[in-house]
Order: sequence, then structure tokens, then C-alpha cells
Amino acid sequence: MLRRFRLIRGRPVARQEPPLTESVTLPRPFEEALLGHLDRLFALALRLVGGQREVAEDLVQETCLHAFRNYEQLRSPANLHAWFFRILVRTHINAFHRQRREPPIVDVELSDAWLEGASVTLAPATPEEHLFGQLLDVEVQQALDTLPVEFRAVVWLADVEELSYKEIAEILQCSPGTVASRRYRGHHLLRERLREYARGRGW
Amino acid sequence: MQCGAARKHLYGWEAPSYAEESRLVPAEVAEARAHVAGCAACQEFFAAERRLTDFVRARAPQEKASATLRQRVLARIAEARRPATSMPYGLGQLRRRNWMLAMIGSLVVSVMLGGVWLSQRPARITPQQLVTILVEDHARTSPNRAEFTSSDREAVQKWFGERVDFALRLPPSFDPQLIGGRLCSLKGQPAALVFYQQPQSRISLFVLDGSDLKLPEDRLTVIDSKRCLLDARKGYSVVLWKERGLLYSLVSEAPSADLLHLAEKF
Repeated sequence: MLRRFRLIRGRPVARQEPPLTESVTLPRPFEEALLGHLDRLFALALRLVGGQREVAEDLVQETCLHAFRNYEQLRSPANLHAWFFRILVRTHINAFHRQRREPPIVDVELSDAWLEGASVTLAPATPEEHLFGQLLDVEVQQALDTLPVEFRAVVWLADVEELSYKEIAEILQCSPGTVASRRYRGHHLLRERLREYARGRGW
Repeated sequence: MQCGAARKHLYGWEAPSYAEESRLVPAEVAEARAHVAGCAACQEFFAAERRLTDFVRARAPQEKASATLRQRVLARIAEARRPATSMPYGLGQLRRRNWMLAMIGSLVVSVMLGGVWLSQRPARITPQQLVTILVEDHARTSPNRAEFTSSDREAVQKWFGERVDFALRLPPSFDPQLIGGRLCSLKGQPAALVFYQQPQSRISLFVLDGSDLKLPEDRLTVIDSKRCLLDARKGYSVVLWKERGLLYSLVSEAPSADLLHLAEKF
């Protein structure tokens, strides 16, 4: 009977808002835990979806629902942040990742040969890094957001969130060696992107 | 040990837990460290990695979840909580343990009763039912639960304008003091709830899309151009009227006559 009492027309499907309820402001244990991590979840979501705010918000919303439904399975509250991140990444892979156009990267372990040759470009790089520091925030953000998502996630979780390789490996469901490899390759690509922006400015 | 091997070992070693779980033996780590200690190129390699990490951390966008996102998330969770708490216990258990079976059962029942259901559709929610809901909401939602607090009519209208699908218009001259407002749910449907306060009572103004609700013509009280439904429950007075497709309702401990007088101002 109540289903016929449709007082508010639905919003467009792509941006459909949930009905708001009278309990919105009532704190509950799960909600309290969630709100404490929401900024970090949103920041990671933004990086995963390449800076698209609306898509990131949808991703966070779905993540929170998945987390709510599985909250009882949480074994270690001390690792709550990693647990939220893992659900976020899985939700992204399940719901959004399939739609991307870029091909998935091929994971390889760190190679002695790569690292052996790295000194050729890295040793005199300090002046170049000074130029990076003069790039606009938006350019740095774009450089980060255009990395393959697998590298972007690792760089963000390791460099910004300062998580261990073990934590990142659990979040991304891969080996710690793969995390190390993705981080190195992500750094390498990020330098290239930053150089491109610097060159674009005539530096 | 060559540069490449030393860097590979120590790149993973930077995260101690990885080294603990990997097959990297301490002797190799020690050997890699010894190599790096004597190798300027390797020292520069790790220094450059650290500088880039510092750079990323320093220039990482400082993004925060918006208030709207927080509200959306909490609303979805509140919505997700509802079936388990509002359904009868047995059905709630069934849904948790075997939702597929419940869906199949529902489908079978729907097919069997479909014809009957189509010919004898349940009536729309009645104004009486709505009055009960409004009174309950007024009773349990005090102004201190306002999500937006302001005595500025324009500011309150603007706040709601960003959150509901209709244009909320509040009367410019209104004796009760405007406190603020919040979004609320009337059986799952969003509505604007505006709080007013007067010396002896508080007043809740509910505004929602009322296109599906029919007020009983024979019970309406006509004031100026408004046709109002008066009701009272549990010591609260209720005035309902429709205007430009929206349903307005004033609920208060104040007498119905006072609410009618206020309704004229809209």
C-alpha cells in the first residue's frame, strides 16, 4: 500500500539519491567507524577513478554499503582502515573496473635489470625534481591520475597512506613483491609524466 | 652483489613485513646494505625514490568527503538497516539466512495472487494515515535535531533547494521564530521539515510532493483560497493543505485555530 504513496519523483538513474531517513543523524557504532575513515576512503576513491568526483562518491557509497553488510565479519578492528580500503578496491574492480578502456597491466616482479639501469636516469635528477616542485597542483594531480590504476593505487597507498607492502598486498589481493614492483614502476611512470608537464612549460 | 640485485632486495626491505614474509634471508639484506653503503649510484637511487615519495605526499590533493556524501552514505546505511529491524522477526531471519528462498517464495505468491492483486489494488495511503505519521515525526523530532540552523528564511530555502526536488517557499511574515530544518523520511519518501518555535509551543512544517494524495473534499475547511484538512492526534493539532502540487502540513501542540491562522500566511 505504501509503495503507491510516491511523493517524490525519482532522480535520474545515474545519480539517484537514496531516500533520506529520520535516523540520518543518529550515530551507531558502524557509522561512527565509517565516518572516521570517510575522508581517506574518498581520497583513495578519487585516485582510483581518475579524479571524477561524482564517480568517486558513487564508489564510496557502494563501498560503505558493502562494508555495512560485512561488518560482522571484521576480525581485527585495528586494521579497520585496511579493511575499508580492501572493500573499496574490490568494489571498484567489480563495479567500475570492467568498464575501463585501458588494458590491464601485466604484473612482473622487480627486475635486477631495470634497477641496474635506473641509475642512468636517476643520478643527476635533482635539478629536474626542483622543476617538478614548480608544477601546478593540478598538473601533479593529473600526472598521478593518468598512471595505470594498479600503479596509482599502490603509489597512493604506499606514499600517501604510508601503508606497508603487506597491508597493500592484502588490500589489492596480490603479493608483496607485486606491490614493490608496481610501486617502482609507478614512480618511474610518474617521473615521465611530470617531465612531460615540465617540458610543456618550456623548462 | 650487483647494483640491480641490491636495489631489488632493499626496495622490498623498506617494508619490514614484506621481508619477514618473503624468503629474503638477512644475509642477503646485509649484503645489499653493504653494497649500497659503498655505492654512490645506489645511494642516489634510494635517495631519489625517497624524494619522489616525499613529493607525492606533499603534493597529494587534500580531498575530503563532502557533507552531501556523508549524508548520502548514512542515508543508504539507514535504509539498509530498515528491512532487518522493521520486518517481522521470522521474515527477517529468513531474509538473512536464505534470501533466495524468500524471493522464490515471494514470486510464487505473487503469481498466484497477481490477478486478485491487480483487480483489487490496495488504496493509496489515506490522509488519516499520513496525519499519524506526521504527528509521530513531530513528537520525536525536536528542533535540536536540525541539520541546518538559521532564522534566515532565504538561507533555509537555499539549504533545502540543494536537497529536495521541489522549491520550498516559506512565508516572509511569520510570527513563530524560524529555527532551521532537516530532511526527513515519511515512510521512505523524503520531505522537508522546517522547525518553528513560539513561546508556548513548537511547530513543525512538513513539505513534500503531494500529487498522489487526495484530501477528502467533504472534510476540508476553506480559508481564503486554501482548502485545509484539520485533524488532531495524541494532543497535537495538524493542518494539511495542498498548493501547487506540494503538500504542506503544520503540526503543533498549539490549537488547530492557531495553525489555520498561520496557514493563511503561506
